[in-house]
Parts: sequence; C-alpha cells; structure tokens
Amino acid sequence: MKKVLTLVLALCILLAAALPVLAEETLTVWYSGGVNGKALEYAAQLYTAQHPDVAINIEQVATSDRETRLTVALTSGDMTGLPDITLFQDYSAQRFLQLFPGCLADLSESIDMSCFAQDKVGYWTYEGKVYALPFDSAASADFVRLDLLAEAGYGLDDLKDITWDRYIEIGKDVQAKTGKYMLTETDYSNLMMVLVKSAATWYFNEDGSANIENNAGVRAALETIKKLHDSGIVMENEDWAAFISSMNEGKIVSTVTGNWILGSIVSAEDQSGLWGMTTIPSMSEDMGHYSSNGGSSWAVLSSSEKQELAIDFLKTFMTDEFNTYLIKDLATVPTYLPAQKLECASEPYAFTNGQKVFADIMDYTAKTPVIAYGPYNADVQNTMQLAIDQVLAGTSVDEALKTAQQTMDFLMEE
Amino acid sequence: MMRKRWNRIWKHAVLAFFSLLSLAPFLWVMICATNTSVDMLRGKMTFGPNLWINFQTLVDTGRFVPAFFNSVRYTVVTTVLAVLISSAAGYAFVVYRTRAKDMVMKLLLLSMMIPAAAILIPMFRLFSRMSLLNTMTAFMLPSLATAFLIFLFRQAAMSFPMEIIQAARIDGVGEWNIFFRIFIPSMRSSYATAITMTFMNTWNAFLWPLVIMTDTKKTTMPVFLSVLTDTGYTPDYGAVMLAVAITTFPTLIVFFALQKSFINGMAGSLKG
Repeated sequence: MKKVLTLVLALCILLAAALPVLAEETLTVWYSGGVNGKALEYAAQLYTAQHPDVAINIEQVATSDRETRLTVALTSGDMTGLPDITLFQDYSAQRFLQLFPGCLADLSESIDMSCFAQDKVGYWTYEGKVYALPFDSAASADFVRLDLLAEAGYGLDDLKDITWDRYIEIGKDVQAKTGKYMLTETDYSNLMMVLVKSAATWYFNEDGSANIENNAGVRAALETIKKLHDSGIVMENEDWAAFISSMNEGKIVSTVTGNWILGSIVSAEDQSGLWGMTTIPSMSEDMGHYSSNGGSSWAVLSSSEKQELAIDFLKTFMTDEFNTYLIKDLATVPTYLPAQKLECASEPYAFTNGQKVFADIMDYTAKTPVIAYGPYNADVQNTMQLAIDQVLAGTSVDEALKTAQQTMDFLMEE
Repeated sequence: MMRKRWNRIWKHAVLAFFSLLSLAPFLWVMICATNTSVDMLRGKMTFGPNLWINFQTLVDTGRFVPAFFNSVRYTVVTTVLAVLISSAAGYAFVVYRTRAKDMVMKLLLLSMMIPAAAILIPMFRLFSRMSLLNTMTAFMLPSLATAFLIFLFRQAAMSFPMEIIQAARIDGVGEWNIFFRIFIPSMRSSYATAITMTFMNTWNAFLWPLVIMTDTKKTTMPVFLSVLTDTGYTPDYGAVMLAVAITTFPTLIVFFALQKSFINGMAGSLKG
C-alpha cells in the first residue's frame, strides 16, 4: 500500500512539475528591425512570466517582405501562415485599412487610445475606429554637433525655434569657419515629409483628393529644399549608408530627421558628449517646429483565432516596466504618453552632453500635428520625389507642383 | 615583331583593366566582410580583423545555418530533377513523332511570356489548398519543367544525329538506355548550361520562397539576406557583406566548374 502511495505521489509531483512547461496557447508575432525585436522579446518575457500558459513565438520578417506576404494572403483570401500580431510601418497603415477593410482587429474598444500621441493614432484611424497600438515615436528633431557649433561661435540655443532662412545663414557661417557641411541629406525625400508635416498639412484634402498645387505647405517645402540645395551647406549623400557615415565620420554639423536617427548617431562611441538636440527650423513664422517621419505600430490580424489574447498581450506595451526598458536600454522613445512621468525619461543622457533628450522628444511627440493620411501615401511620395528632382534641376516650383498635381489626379482617378 | 609584341601588351593591359574593374565589387564585398559596420561606413578599404566576429553574428541569428542548408538542399534537388525532366521532354519533342508536337511546343513557349509575379497569387492559393505550404515540394514544383529548359534541350536534340538512335534501336538498345547512355553523355555542354542556369535561378529565387515558406526555419539564403538588412536604421553591414559573399560562392563554384562546357553550350544553342 505504501509503495503504491509513494508511486502516486511521485507521479503527481512529476506531473505538476511538467505542467507549467506545456504552454496551452501560442501567439505568433512578426516584427522587423533590431530595436523592435528586442522590445518584443522583453514584452514577451514580461507577459509569459504572468501567464505561464501562453507562449509567444516571435519571427523577424523584413518590412517589405512582410507587406508582400500580407498582400498575397489578403488578396488570395487565404490566411494560412499569417501571424496573430504584426508590426506595420505607419506609412502603410491607410493602404491596408482601405484596400483590405476588416483585415485588422478594431482596438479602440479594448485599448484607451487617448494614452497615445494623437499624431500616431491618426495614422491608424479609419472610419472612427483605431486598428493598431502605436509604438515608437518618430518625432523629428535637429541633432547637432555641439563642438563644431562652438568652434564657429554658436550655441545650441542659437538653433532653437529658428526659421530655415536663419538656419541657412548660420550654416554658411559655420561652414566658412569649420569647413564642414551644416546639414546632411540623401535625396531630400525624408526632409520633404518632415517639412510638409511641420506646416500641419499633408498632400490630401479632407475628401481624399490630392491637394498639392494650391497647398502653401507643400510649396514652402519645395522652396525650402531648393534654397538649401542652392546655399551649398548641404552634404548630399548617394545613399543611406553614406548618409549615416557622414555623421559617424564627423563630416557634418547637424541632421534634421526622425529621432530614431539617435540609434545610428550613438554607434560612433567616440563622439559621446559632443551631440545636442533641438527643435527643427520652421519654414516661416506661422509654420511649426514639430513634425515626424517614419515609425511603426502593432496590429492584430482579424484572421487570428486568438484576438482577445493578442490584445491582452499588447497591453504589456503600456506598462511602466516595459516603457522603462524601452527608454533606458534601447534609447527608443515610446508614444505612450504616461511614459513621460517615468523617472528614466528625465534622467540626463551622457551621449547628448547631459541633455534630457528623451523627455524633450516626448514633448515634441505630443506637439506633432495630427494629419489625415490617405491610401496613396506611397504614390504621392514617388511623385514628390520627381518634383524635388525637377526643382533641383532648374524647373520652377510652380511647374513642378502642377505636374505633381496632375500625376496624382491621374493616379487616383484609376 | 616589335609592333606585334606591343599590340599584345596593349591588348592585355586593356583586358586586365576591365577584368579588375568587374572584380572590384567582389573585392569590396570581401573587404567589407572582414570589417565592422562603422569601419566600412568610414570608407576603410583594407582587410580588417572582424571576419570571425561577423561570422559569429550570422550564426547567432539562429537562421543563417538552417537557411544555408535549406538553400543547398532545395537547389541541388531542384536542379537535378529539373534538368532530368526537362531534358527528357526536350529529347522527346525531337525524337518522337506526334501530331500535336509543334502545337504543344508553341503553347509552352507562350507560357514564357507570363511574368511569374502575375500568377503568384493563384499559385499561392493552389499550393495552400493542397496543404503544401512550407514544403520542399512547393518550392520545387513550379520550376521542375520550365519552357526555357525544354526549349534549350529541344534545340540541342535537333543537332543530335538521328542515325545514331536508329542504329542503337537496330542493335536492340531500349529507349531509356538510348537516352541515358547515348544522348546524355554526348550532350554534356547543353547539360552544363542547363545546370548552371537552373542552379543560379533556384539559388537566387526570392519571391516564391518568401511567399510559400512562412515558417522561419524553412527559409532560404536570399530571404535570410533580406531579413539581415532589415535591422531598423542601423544594419550591421559587416555581417551583411559576409552573408552576401557566402551567398555568392556556390553559384561561382558551379559556374567555374562547368565554365568550359557552359560556353560551348551557349554557342551550340545559337546554331540551333
């Protein structure tokens, strides 16, 4: 009898030990990019610690590959092999929402969207509902080499809240004194987006039609790019790698783009303490200093059978623990507004000479204008790239805007 | 005499210059593969000490080793099967007589006009319905009998003397034996061409494996490369370049091994 009891007891202990290992449900998540993956891993750790019966399977799929797979699956109506949750580029949001209505789960009922920067929520709003959990901040900023600026007799405050005209003036002076380019760029496509959005406008009217030719913001953006190009203070790089290297090699004084560029800047460790950050210049007195470009968000696919569980997991992204990790370990700024109150957000950051950049970026994020993006975002960017090239080659801004308007009208008519 | 010699030196100098020019990208890939990302972006043009670290980075992704062996496995099997099946088809088009032969060949050639991307979605649906996602069968099936290969072998078979086949038949050799023992050995250059082309196309295939291999453990090298360059705004170029070098090598090896026959095959197919 004793033997049997011992055996039963031993079996019970064995079973109890084995049970927590058997996860009952598995969530699959697609992501891309280094920081996103680390953030996701950490969120999965936090979640599975509290829910041992859930396993989170994360898979890296490159941005364009992810969109190809999703498009093929959604067009063919066969969702086999799709994940439960996926990361999306914010720029692709309206394309998926409008071309495949209902492909994503509505999150506005289960998640309080007022906790997030409204600029980001704007990307994902369609017919009054919100379809993704906003993730990283893409607020634009002007990152500046303080040592080079000082060499020319300027300080960071001289660049704060100025106009582009003043920026060019200072740039010429700095270039004459240090021999370095004031600004680094590739083909101006990123800057174009930053500029247009800083004027609190975008390429479309409220009814969705193209608004380019008579859009003061778009016109000012093209004119500003022309002025920058003609002034000779811009280092125009061949490609993205050259763009990054212009900063790492110390060939330039400043860069105006999304704050995610910080990740590339800090990779040159020998420049620690030499960088500062301020607001971007405005195109005129009545246009703003706040904008954004890039960034991504997490969405739950409607084809998932575990939508509720997936949404519950996404709530991990709204915890203090997660957001502290994001800021402190990944130097990534969340768009979750309550994170502003976290201690780590207001700690001095050594790389930027003690400036509290994370708190500043969150402040910029909250001030970024909210814009309505249409499904033709990718098309309008190609069209505007052509307009930029035309203007730089000598075509008048009027002419380039007219052509762009006609191109978009034609594309959208089809 | 002197003039002839100068002529030769001059010719060699020009050829050497252009060879170096076309080798430069490969050399640059090799240099970058031994450096760190930052060194590369700073324009360092000499070999560095980072080769092993870059290799470790690749291995640490956990996807490099499976992707490489998947690529090798899929490519070798596809190449062998595709060349066998297509060459048998091309041979049959010439050696056997049926009324519909020419019509079928024309239809086959017509299928070459359809771009692969246009039939991607229906193909995905078809394979998904057959529960073939994430299988080697799905990877191979669409490229086992391609119009291009069949046409290549048909043209090659046309230059093959029918008398030999007839003589073999009189001597009592079976049809399969004629194909395997007589046709294949004498068509070495066409096979070299077909193997090189199929190997290259299969090894470099991207869109189809991307769409049907949804399981990360089943992906191939080109899809892995795409993942590798996708690390947000700061890719590790050293590791990327090493992966590029490793991805290029197998095609180079196959090409160099079959180079001599390949060029003969290309010249032969032109005579058609």
